Parts: sequence; structure tokens; C-alpha cells
Amino acid sequence: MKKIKVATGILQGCFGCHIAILDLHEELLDILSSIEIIRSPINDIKDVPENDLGILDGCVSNTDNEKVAKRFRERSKKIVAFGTCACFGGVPGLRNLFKLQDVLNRGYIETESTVGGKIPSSDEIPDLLPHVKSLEQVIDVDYRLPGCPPTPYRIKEFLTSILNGKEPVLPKKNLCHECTRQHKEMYIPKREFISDSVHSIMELEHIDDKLCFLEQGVLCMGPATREGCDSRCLKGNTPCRGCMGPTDDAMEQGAKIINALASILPAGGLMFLEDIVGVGYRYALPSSIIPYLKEGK
Amino acid sequence: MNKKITIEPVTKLEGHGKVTINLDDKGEVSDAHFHVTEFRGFEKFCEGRMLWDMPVITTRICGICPVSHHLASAKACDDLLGVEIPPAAKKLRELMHMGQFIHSHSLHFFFLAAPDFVMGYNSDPLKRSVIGILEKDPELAKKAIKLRKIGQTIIDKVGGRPIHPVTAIPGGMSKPLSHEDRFDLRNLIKEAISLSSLSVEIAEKILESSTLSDLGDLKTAHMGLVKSGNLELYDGTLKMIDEKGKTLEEFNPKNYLKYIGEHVEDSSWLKFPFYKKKGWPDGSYRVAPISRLNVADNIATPLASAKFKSIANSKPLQANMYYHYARTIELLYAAERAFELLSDDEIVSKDVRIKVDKKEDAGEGIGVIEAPRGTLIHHYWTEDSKIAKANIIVATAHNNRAIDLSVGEVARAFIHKGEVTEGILNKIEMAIRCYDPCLSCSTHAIGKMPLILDIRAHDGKNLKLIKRD
Repeated sequence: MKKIKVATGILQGCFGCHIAILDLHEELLDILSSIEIIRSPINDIKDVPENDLGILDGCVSNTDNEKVAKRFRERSKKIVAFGTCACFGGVPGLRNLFKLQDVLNRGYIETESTVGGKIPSSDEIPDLLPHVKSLEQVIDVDYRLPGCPPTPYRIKEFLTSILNGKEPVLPKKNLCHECTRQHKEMYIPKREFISDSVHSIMELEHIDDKLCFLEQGVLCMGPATREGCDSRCLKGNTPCRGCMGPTDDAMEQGAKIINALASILPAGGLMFLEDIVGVGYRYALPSSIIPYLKEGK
Repeated sequence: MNKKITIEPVTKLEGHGKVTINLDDKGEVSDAHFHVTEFRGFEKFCEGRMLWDMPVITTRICGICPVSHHLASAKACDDLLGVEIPPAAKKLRELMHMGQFIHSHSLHFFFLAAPDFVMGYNSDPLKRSVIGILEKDPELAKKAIKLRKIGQTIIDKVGGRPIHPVTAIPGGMSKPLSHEDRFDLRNLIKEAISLSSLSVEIAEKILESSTLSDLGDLKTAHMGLVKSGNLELYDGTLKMIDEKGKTLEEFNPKNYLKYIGEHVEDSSWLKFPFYKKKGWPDGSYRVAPISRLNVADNIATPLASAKFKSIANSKPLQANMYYHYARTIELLYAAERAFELLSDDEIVSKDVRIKVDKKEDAGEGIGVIEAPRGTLIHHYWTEDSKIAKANIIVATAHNNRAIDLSVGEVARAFIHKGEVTEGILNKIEMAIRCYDPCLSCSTHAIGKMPLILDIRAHDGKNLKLIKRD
């Protein structure tokens, strides 16, 4: 069988998605018998080789990222937005809550350890874009594989589908569908709509590892988040924070959680959580429709 | 005619990095620099986030060493909230951290550094990768995969996920370790100890067969955590020594601002930390494996201690070549220490957290840890549980100046009369690689490192283009 030629690249990210590929461990050796990795990872090199499948992780945050993304599009038959940053913008997208100048000032002038700071500026380093973008906001993508990072199991399943000439299929429902925690009072109408619930698991006397977090009074992003992560955070006895991004039918992950909380009565008060933007939109702010801060306003 | 050489991308720190080398009219190196070309702005966009979310937001700074950020952040939260976590929680966090060292150090040593030595620094770039090793010595490659897998398995079982763990929360840990997991991990870690010993032997041979000064031989100060004089990765005091090995300072990490400042250069998005009393640039120092061994008087586990003593006469270690050997000694320590922790019955205690209340008035907290790549500092200020300000100094930053200087030193040693070969470029990369800046791991992880050499006249006109892709 002819091996398919794969090129992988990193835009702005943490490298966790590439480590997730390595976390296939011995199974990676099997996959390498069917694919040829002709470039990994690609950076801002001008010459991206022609390839059958371009796998790009990370969001688009500077002019170099933009160039690399466009070059990949030209040279790849198919492109995968690999991981949540590429799909939705990811955690670095939280930068869009602030003006770029303020972000730079904090980093290079105001930080307490900085002595005599200034904003770096030279031809040797690329310019930052005013706002962080998802990959899809820069180029057309053929496939999406969300996750921060995607689990090795999903990566293998995804690559196997492509190798067999099939369209990769993502799980479609929300995380509550796959989560095994119990519900007891979730849908019982109560007058205490605005609860005095806790905000963090650290405040709980006992963190119940069997009961739904919303019922314990802690915000969990499960209702607004795509399943397919193996409920890793829930199994770690911590609530979901939405890293798989929204489901297909919920364009807005933040709006979706507010909607869900409003309809799950005992948990309703959680929608007044202090940082609903930083929780609801933590992984998908750049791809959301809420207007972000415009320069100069 | 003046020429400018660009190696791009050479190596990275959570993003793109490159090297520029300027040649004078005789073709000798006049100037060489390392630039980090990426910036994300965590210190700004963490403002407004809830304190307790920080340990899971800041993991996204690095997917290779997320545990370090997770734990430094959790420690900063504990400090800010004024809580002392239960002993079992401390042990579980340290165990997770040892898993991180096993994963990260074996990733760097076998997947990135070893191919240059096993295959030869000027061998075919196509084969100079872990895939080359897989063809040449499949058993060794499989052992490398196994060792890293054990590290990730520890993180997974203790931290909930191998990448971006979640279980360290203010006040302790969200879940205890089960008896079954403890049993399984204890068996696995025995294998990790023998695989780590093998790594030390390989690194020892590399060191013996190499010219010590080949990848740069700087004379700098060093900094790292110590505890009762021993090598320490999780908790302790910060010790700084001068280039001769004399102690400059030993201080509580919470006072870091008194000792450490950060300088900004126009041509890099990464700042340059320095020792304040000596100022910039004289106060530059290094961190990570050789520095940690330099500041320590001993290592508390037997096998690693024996190896440590074998090089104690060469301290302070300065040549970059020592980094690989020192890294494998730490790898061995991490495996031995994980075994100790897993042998302690308290590791399965159910008493892993204390309930913590919100702090509504202003708060300030600092968490410091030794990440695989060096000292990592998280510092938060809160108002009504929201982050008002955050200051983060990442591990590789401390080595920024040293990497910059090493690039210049190696370029000057090998580039003469304007002649540059692919092998020489790789030597320059190898000098950077000693420091294990984050991205280089991934860069060599599954394939070869792309590289482009653009020799340009001073007016910008292209003279020559060498490509390796």
C-alpha cells in the first residue's frame, strides 16, 4: 500500500497536541507503517512540501502563523484543524478580551520583575495580530479534531478513518451524555433559583466523585461541551472546563452554558458566576460571535 | 562584503525561534543571536480569571511540561490562601512531578539529543531523528518509548490526564491514589529505574567520546532549588552560585523579586532574567540540569547519588556538553524518588485536601518549582478571588542569554572564511538543544528538523540558499 504523505505543523500553541500524537506510544509505530511523515512540525519555513494530509495545531496569533497556515493550504490536499486552538482559538484566544497594546505593556513593561522594560520590536521577530484567530478564520479546513489536546484514542481513530478512505466522524452529543456521574435533583423545580452555591470545588466539604458537579453547586461545562474526551477531568474529580469546544449545534459555547444553567433549576445561580466569560468562552472566544474589544475603543 | 546568515527555524520555546549570524568581510562571525519569535500574553489575559482556575489555565502555557505549571500555580494558590496542604497531597504532587521529569527528560534525551550522537552530527539529516534510531537500533527506540510512557502513565494516574492534568487544586488534591494504581505504578517504576540507568550509561559514553568544549563552554553563575543541600525539584530554597562555585545567595523563593530582574531586548519576545545585584548583563546565570547539580551538595537517592559523586570533582559544570549527562542523572533521580514515594503507605491516604474558603480581600501568592527546563515562578495578586495581576517567569527564560552566547561561541568556532555546511549548522542547533528549550522537543519528535540557511549580503541581496527539509 502506498503510504500517505503527512506534514504536521504548529502555529501558536503549547505543543500538547503533538505530544498527544507521541502518547500513542507503541501504537505510533503501527501508524508509521501506513503514513510517511515528511515534515513535522512545520514552522515558518517557506517551503512546505506537497502532501496528502496537512495537520496543523495551534491558533493564529502573529504574521508568521498566518503565512505558515496559508502555505500549508497551498501544499496540502487536505487540512486538519488539529486540537482546540486550531478549531476554535483555544486558551490563547483569551487575549482577545484585551487590547494588544495593553497585553504588550503588561508583558514587557509593567510586570514586577521587568527592569527598564520596552516593547520588543525588530525585523527578526514577527508582528502580533490585533486578535487571535482560529485556523478556520484564516484558511479553509477539511477536517476538525478538537480537544486540548485530543486523546490519543481519537487521534488514532481519526487517522485510521482517513487511511481507509472514510470521512472521520466526531462524537456529536454533549459531555453529559458520556459522563457517568449521577443526577438526583437536577430537574426538580425549586424556588431557590438563585442559589448560594459555591464557586469552586476547593470550597466543598467533600468532593463527591459520583455525583454531578452541577448538583454539588459547582459550575461544570459538560452541558455545553462536545463529548469524546473520555471524561478525563471528571474522572480526575474536577469539573469540565470545556476544552473540547462546543457541539455542532451550539455555535456559542458560552451562550449554551448560560442557556443550560437557566433550564437546570438548582444550578441556575451558577450563571451569575463572576467570570462567566473566562469559563464559558475559555476555549472558543476567537470563533464566537460576541464582539471582542476593538483596537482604539 | 558583510553577510547575514539566518537559521530559521532552529529551535523553539513554545513557539518559533531563529538564529541570525552576521559575517564580516573576511567571512568570520561578527555577531550571532538567538531570537524567540512568539508571545501569547498569559500575564495579561489571566487578569479577571478566578484564582482557582489558574492551575488549569496555566497548564496551557506548555504541553510538554504542563505538570510544572499546574503545580507552580497550585502552590501559588495555596500560598495566597494561606493553606498548608496535607502531607499525602504534597507527596502525590511530587509523584506527579517525578512522572513529568521522566516523560520530559526521556523525550529530550532519546527523541531529540541522542540522534545527533547515535547517528552522528553530520550524518544524513533524514536519518538523524528518532526514526533513524528506530531503524538502526529498534530495541533502544522501543525502550525510549517505554520509559516516556511510564512517565506519562504516572501523570495520568495521579493528575487525571497525561497532558494538562487537573487534580492539584487549592488546598491539596481532588482525588487520592487508588491501591490498584499504586500497585501498578510501583511495578512500572522499577522498570523505569533500570531504563534510566541505561540512559545514564549512554549519556556517559557520549560525554566520554565528545570534546567537552564542542557545544560551547560558558563560564556563568547558576541557580536552582535545594533542600538540606540536596537536589530538589518540588520545594526548597533557591540557591545561586557564581562561576567558580561560590555561593552568592540562598533565599526563600518567595523573595525572588529582590534577587531576580528581567531585561528586555528588541529582537526577542523572550525576556532575559538576571541577578539584580550584578545587573544586566553581568548578572546572567543559568538554570536546569547542570545548574541544579552545581548548586546541590548531593542527591538523596542511592543510584543517582553515585553518579553525581562521579562528576563532583568537575563542579561547577560549565560546558554545555554536560547538560545531557546531568539530565540523565536527574532522570534516574526522578525514577528513584517516584519509587520511594510509591513505597510510602501515605501515598494512598484519603486525606489529600483541606477545605478552603474564598479570600475576598486582596491577596498575593507565589509558587516556585523546578520544571524540567529550570526554575519556574508563578506570582499572583487577587481582588475578591479574581486575578488582579500575574507575573510568570518560565524556565527557559533564565537560559535565554546563555543560549544566545552559546550560539555565538559555536558559530565563531566553526564558521570561517564564510564556509558553512549543514553539519556546522547542526552543531549550532546542538548547542541550543543542550538547553532543551521547549519546542526543540517537538521539533525532533517525529521526523526531522527543517532548516533553511539564507546567506545574504548586507544590502539584503540573496547570495546563497542552503536548505534541509
